[in-house]
Amino acid sequence: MPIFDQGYQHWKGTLSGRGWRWLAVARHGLRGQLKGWVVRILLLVAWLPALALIVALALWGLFEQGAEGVLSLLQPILPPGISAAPHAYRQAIWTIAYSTFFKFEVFFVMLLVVITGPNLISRDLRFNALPLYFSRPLTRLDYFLGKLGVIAALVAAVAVGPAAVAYVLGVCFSLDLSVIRDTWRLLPASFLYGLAIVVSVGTLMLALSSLSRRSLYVGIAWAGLWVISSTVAGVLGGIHREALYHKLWQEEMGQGNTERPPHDESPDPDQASMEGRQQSRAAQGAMREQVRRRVERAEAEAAPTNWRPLCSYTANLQRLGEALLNTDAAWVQIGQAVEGPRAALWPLLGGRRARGSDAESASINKRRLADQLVPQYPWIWSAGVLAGLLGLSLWTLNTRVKSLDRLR
Amino acid sequence: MLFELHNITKTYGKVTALSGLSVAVPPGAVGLLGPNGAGKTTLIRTLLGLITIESGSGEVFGLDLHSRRLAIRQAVGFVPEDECLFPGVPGVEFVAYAGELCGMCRPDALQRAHEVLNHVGLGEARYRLVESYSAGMTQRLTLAAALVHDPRLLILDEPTNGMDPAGRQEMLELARDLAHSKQMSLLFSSHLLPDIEYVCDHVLVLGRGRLLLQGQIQELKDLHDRCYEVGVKHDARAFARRLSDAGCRVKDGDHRLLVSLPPGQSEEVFWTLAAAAGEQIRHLRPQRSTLEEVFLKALEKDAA
Repeated sequence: MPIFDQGYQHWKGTLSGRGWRWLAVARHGLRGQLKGWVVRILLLVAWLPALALIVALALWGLFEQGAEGVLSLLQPILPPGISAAPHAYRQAIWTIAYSTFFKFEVFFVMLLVVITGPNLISRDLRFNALPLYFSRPLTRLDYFLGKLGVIAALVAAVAVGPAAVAYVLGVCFSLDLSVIRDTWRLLPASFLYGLAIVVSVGTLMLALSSLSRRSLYVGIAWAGLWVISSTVAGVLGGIHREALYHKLWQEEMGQGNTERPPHDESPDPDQASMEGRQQSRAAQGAMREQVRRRVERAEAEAAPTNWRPLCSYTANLQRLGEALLNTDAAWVQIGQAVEGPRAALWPLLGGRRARGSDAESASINKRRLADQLVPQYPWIWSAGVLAGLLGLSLWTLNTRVKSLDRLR
Repeated sequence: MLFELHNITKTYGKVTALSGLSVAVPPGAVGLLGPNGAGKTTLIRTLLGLITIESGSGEVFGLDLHSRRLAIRQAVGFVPEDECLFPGVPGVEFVAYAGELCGMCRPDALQRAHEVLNHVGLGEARYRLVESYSAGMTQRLTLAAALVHDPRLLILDEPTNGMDPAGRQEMLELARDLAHSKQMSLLFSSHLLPDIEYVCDHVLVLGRGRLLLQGQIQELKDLHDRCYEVGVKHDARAFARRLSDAGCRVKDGDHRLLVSLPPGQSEEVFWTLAAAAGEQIRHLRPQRSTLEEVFLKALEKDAA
């Protein structure tokens, strides 16, 4: 028994407005998550790509200014067109740097969410915390927003925040305010992309978290969704590519047999056999090169309707990011600078000549890099898939996290 | 009025939880009695604005049930029946978080959390994880969480369920103290009549979603007009015969005679007859019903 027992005292403080109640839920959730050392270490590791982005933008800024150390470092590896007029490629380089940064960060976001997300609702269900929430001046929307806020804070910490900081530092290192004119679109695009990640990843994780009282199962489901969907997309893409290659190879083989000239009769059978093998190997090599190029062309032609990447959840997120950042245009611009020298140097670099392909080998395909590095199917497809998942997640949340308007 | 309900009806599918319930309750400590399925929990959820009612209207502290739900919850503290926890936090964080959810800023919420934890007797355990609390401690913790924003009305839904006798007594003392010393209104739902009787002044009896009985507990217990409990030293049977001869109705109670006086007769008759019989009266007091009798009578009347 305390010596001085004041007993119950009334409280005369003021209460905040209802609009920010969700923030209390988010703060509480974030405090809980940051107690774990795994999350703290992962956050630190997730900042490494941001560091790389800052270094890349700073180097480019110094390169534009003609800093000697940077010139000697970058000039040997950059195409002459870019080295000659770096300002003209500023927007493309920045865009590609941001796109690469976000590719890494999507990976880290998925990893962070698999560690922090499963607990968000499942633990409340396990400990029957919902009556405590909903008997206070808090709506279900506030509750969901608060839980989403935890994921939003993590995404902001590893993706959006560093992207903004990198932008400011990049501008500072460039010592040229025209950088802002050329690259300002990256900033709203990064925020929008971050928002899309938060809404999609957040609601999906909350929906999964509401399906079970055991966080472990939720984590497994999330990892399964991530890994399996990416694997399925990869396997389907591989099957498609192999089938295309096989088909074109068969076509080339058919044409090769009909067009192959008859061997000259040689007086020495051994020499004739050796020459024949060499000719055959050369013909096969040329044929492979021809098929490879045809596959490349066929894939580029089919890319706008290639639906297979849609099976991968992260590929859909990345497709949305590419569209927001306009990475395709950046790679086309870089492609112009890279493909010219490549076409000119093609014969010197030992490019094998295939039948009737000299002109093709030497021709400049500005879109080659863009076709290879940026998905070409309409971004709206990915947006549709993500919107469908969002709808499903909201429906699940609405069904699983009920109000107390029920008999038991 | 603490709250007023007018013709409230709430159904869950085929089950009618509240059927045209109308009640007006004054501030104070109010007990909510009723058998299982009487609609006690539904009434509490209605007051908290947690459910959508089919028909009827009502007010809590003058705030409309339909349009001012969140304002009502702001003014009310609720201790749920089931074990509910915000997991993974020590007790003080638990209570502070409850305060923050009500709109308190964090420093205020933390300071207040320490105060109310001391008040409910969990001062020593405030830094322990809530998952390690016993059932009784959890119940006191949820009481602290309900008190943290200093509500005008505290709703306790079966607060002594699953508690040991000592814990139960402590919880009752806390509730009683809040209601009687701190002028906090209380709605105390329980199956345990002694608990209600100990804590509350006013009682509502519900049955099948309807109000069976309402009033001040003392007034409800004073129903036996001109009835007395009489105890004598020697021969109770002989004294009972004398009372019967004098026109009184006499029943044998537990070690006592329950005597109803006829019209026109005063309690002077006990002393007169005792003096005549050479008997000593050792116990004489007006007969009062127990709350249990009141409750059972109300249920019987409803069943009839």
